[in-house]
Amino acid sequence: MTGFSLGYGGLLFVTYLIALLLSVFPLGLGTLSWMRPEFVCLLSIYWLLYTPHKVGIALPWAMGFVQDIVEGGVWGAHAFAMAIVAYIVLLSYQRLVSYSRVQQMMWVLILIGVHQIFFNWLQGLMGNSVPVSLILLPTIMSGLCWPVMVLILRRFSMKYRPAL
Amino acid sequence: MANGYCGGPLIKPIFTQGPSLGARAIALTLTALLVAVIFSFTDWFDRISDRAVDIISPLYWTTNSPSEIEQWGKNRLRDKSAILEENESLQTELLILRRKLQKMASVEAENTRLRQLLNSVDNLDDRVVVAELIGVFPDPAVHKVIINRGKENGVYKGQAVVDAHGLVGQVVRVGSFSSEVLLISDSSHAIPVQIDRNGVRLVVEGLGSVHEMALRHVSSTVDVQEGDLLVSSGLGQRFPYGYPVAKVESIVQDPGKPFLHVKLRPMAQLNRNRHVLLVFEHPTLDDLKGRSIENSDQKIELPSQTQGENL
Repeated sequence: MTGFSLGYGGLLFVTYLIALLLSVFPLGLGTLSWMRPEFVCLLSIYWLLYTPHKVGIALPWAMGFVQDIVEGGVWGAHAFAMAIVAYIVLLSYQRLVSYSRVQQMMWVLILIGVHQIFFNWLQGLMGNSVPVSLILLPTIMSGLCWPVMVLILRRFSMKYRPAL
Repeated sequence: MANGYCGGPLIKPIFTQGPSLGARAIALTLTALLVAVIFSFTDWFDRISDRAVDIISPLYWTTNSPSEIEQWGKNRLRDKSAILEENESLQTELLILRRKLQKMASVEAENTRLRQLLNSVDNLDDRVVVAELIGVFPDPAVHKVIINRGKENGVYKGQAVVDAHGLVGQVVRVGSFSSEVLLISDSSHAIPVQIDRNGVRLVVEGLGSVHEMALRHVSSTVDVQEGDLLVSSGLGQRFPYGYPVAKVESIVQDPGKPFLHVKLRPMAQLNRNRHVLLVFEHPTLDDLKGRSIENSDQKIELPSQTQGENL
């Protein structure tokens, strides 16, 4: 496709950096900020699904930690949720990749929901009350973002897919 | 079937080296859980998290730069007449404020004299430093912002942050060049106040919304009215006395409940302001530098240690 290639590590770095930047992009303190998709979790699911032989649980977990530090919440909250999601994805990726786009989206929606529930539970340890809409809205937005993200990322990452 | 294949995928043994997937998952989740618990209930990570502010602020600065550029562009392209007009209105405003300040000077002097008569401590004017907002934390359940002033500018933990209209919050983490401010609207935040009209002491708590706050434990006999201004009482030893915090918007008395339900509107423009003021109450680095240079860091720590728990 293009002559210039970052390599797999470079691609991971750039995509995670963009995801982190998107996850802190200023949306103010109003309702708009409630609709921010979980970019880092989405990206981790993508890499786990399409290159499961290269990404284990440790990378999404570590990126969860980075996200915790960047977002200033409870450290370990994102990492905890991400490790659980990564585990589920690694157990079921063979089924997930073979699904149709829509079906896959529904699955991702559930995965993000799991992520949100665990994340908000830990976040609640700090005493921040979490309304239900705070779990639902980002989950739905993330689900809607999934097909777009797959379309964009597949252009760059097809060559790293495993030869099954 | 027993050799090689043990319940995993048949196609390719991917995770054959090291511990199994389940073991890794359990180890990593437990580690994360442990970190979260330690982070929430102890202060072991405080040092590192102070450093983290400096590391993450460039990210916020980067995401903030588009609006920064937009602002810059707007300023460049503005009409000269518009600027002149604004200048004129600002001059007028300045004149009005100067007049108020003249009166204020005499009132302040009188206040000081009266306080001396009562043998109480003088109300000293607080020194302030202007800071700019460089980021808002993305989690809507957490009301925290990052400002572009840090330890190098004398910022200390627990320092009060105000804007033109009222109290904004307090500094919770200090990096070298940037720091984190917890807003008064955060659901984990509470601040001791008093009613400006009659001096009744109360506690205002955040609800996680920038438009609404609540009063904690107001018994139905307390003299609260709609439109009352609540100012910081300084009793928590953290916020200076006398900054406007919120205005009473509505009072609902439910006979079945032990306390009044009082709705408040924060005075500060919590989701709009770009510039805030850091209020210095305690001796700052600059003040201490004259006295002893080696111990300056230690001395700066002192005020925050003597303060009580985060209210």
